[in-house]
Amino acid sequence: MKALVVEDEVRTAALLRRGLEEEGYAVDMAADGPEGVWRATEFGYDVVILDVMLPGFDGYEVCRRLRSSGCWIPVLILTARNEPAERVRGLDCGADDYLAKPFSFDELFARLRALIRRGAPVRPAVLQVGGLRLDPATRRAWRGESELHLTAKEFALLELFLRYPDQVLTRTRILEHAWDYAYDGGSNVVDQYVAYLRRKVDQPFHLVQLETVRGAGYRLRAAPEPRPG
Amino acid sequence: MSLRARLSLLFALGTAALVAISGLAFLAQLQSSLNSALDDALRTRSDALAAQLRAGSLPAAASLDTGQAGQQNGQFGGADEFAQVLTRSGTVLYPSGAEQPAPLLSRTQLAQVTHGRFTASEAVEGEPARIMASEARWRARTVIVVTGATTDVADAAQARTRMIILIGGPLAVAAAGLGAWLLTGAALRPVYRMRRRLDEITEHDGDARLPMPRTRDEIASLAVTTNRLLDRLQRALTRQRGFVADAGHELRTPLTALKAELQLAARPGRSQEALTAAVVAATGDTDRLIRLAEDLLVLACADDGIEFLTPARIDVSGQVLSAARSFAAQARARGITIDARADGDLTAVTDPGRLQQALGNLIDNAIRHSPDGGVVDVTGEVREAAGHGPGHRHASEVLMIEVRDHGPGFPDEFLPHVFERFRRVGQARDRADGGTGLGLAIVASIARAHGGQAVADNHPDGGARVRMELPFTPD
Repeated sequence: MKALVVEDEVRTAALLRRGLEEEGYAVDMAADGPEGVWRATEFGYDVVILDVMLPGFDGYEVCRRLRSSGCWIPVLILTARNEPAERVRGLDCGADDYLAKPFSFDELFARLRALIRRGAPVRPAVLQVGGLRLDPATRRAWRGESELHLTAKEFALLELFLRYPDQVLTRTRILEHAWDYAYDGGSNVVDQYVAYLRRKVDQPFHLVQLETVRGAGYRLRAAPEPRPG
Repeated sequence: MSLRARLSLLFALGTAALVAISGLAFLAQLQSSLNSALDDALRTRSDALAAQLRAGSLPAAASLDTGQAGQQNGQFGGADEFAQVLTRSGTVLYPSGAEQPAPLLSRTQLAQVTHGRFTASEAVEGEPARIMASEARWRARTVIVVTGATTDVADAAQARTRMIILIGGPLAVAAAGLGAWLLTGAALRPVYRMRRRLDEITEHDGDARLPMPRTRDEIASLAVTTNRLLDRLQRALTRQRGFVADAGHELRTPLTALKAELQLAARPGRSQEALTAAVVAATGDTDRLIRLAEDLLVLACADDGIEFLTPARIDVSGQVLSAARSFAAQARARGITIDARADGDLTAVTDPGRLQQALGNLIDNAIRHSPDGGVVDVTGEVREAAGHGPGHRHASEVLMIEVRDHGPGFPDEFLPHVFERFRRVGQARDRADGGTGLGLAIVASIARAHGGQAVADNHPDGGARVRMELPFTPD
């Protein structure tokens, strides 16, 4: 396994390298933000260990730049900034895990193993399909440049459709995703909410993207079509 | 008592005093004008009677003593009028008849008439009346003419006026108090609103501010002032939070290294050399933690101002030279020379321990930023105070302790932040060479505690220059 350590503090960097190497990792080092982004995008790593307080630009920015350039290497943020707000910020920037300094090597290794197990699938922080965009962290959604004002239920439905574009989602599946187990109101509530969602997402823009698949359920097309007529 | 209640009460009391004074004055004025009108009527009648007497005749019995006569005066309808003519000894000459009435004048009053005409208010046959007495001639004798009129009508007018004042006065007072209560309530409403808002503001909603009243009055300016205070408090709080976050970060960094070092050392199969190296490295981390803890403690003490200084009268030049000497070995290791100079008598009241600490921080800093083989200048001298900064307003001379290196100097954008806590020029490099990021902040704190200040700039010929300016009072 190959790891990139982005850390400017010399002592900590050297110790991380030693510990990781003894665990069997091949380790590369970067001492500032720009170098970190460059190495991570240029060379293939299985995991990135990222400090936050870096010269150049900080670890959050490194993370954002990696994700926006389509680099999905698992990132673990390792920082002495330990306030909850900082942790939230790190994870919402597209990092996969967060570990506070001073850390335990055993925990670090366990978290790295878990991250590497999951691999590097595309897992954007902001979902985007054919002109529709949704940011779960800020709970906002857009069609092109215009923001959509959705209720909590509509937001949950749209998030589900955006995660599975071009796939047919049955009423049962939608019901399971957006309503709790205790809900006992029949599946036509799904039809009702999909209709609400269409009225906000498709109709004002004269498009058809969220379509009915007769006898099966609903599907969000990867690309919208102009509404006939 | 609330301001509102106090103002209303004050206003009511003021109105009461005004009503009482003006009421009494009005009543007195009324009384005197009624009397003078009565007196005019009495004099007219008295003169007419005297003229009649001079002509030698006494008026027919009771012709002047009529209940209706007053109506002829027109002014006081219903007043009973009467008259008497007395001898000087008090015998009633008129009216004469079977029932001889008692003389209207007492013996003392009879004596008084000889000095001239007089008037008096007294009860006649049980009714309040006003009488006038004067001398007149009748058949070559001096007699006394007394005319009188009852005053019940005038008294009734006065009583009515008094009644109006007694009922109307309290009503006016109550109205004034109520009006003041309502007006102050309206005027203070924005104040109540501001107070309620201030009550709700906690340290957590730092952006909360008072709503601005639409008016441009004292209350609006109070809101402006209060909002400025909130701004300052928020800035201080933000600074404090930033400092705590920085301190946490600075403490965690060596702790991280220490913990990692020890964890790695604890793994099986370490050689003796590896363990020794780990212990040495861990000691280095520990030293850094100790320095950081000490520095934070110094700053905490300086901020609290508790037992921070133990001043004594000492020779500062000796302090400067000995501080320079104690860093000589460290400097020599990199071929750096410390050129220390302390001119003249620099005896001043300072804390020797703190002064050593500040000097140490300055020299240590200068050595770290000096190129190998460079020179560090340490100067102690007394100079004329150039400006009148807040720290040494009364001192005409200042004690300057200056340390200068011949390194790259402070970057311009860093100069305003030189004395801020955990501010470093190059984050990574400086931390590695042992600075805690608090050294110059401590220098500034020590200078301030002595009533002086710390100043940083770059020497015109290059190199960073930091000096402490302490108040200097010879003897």
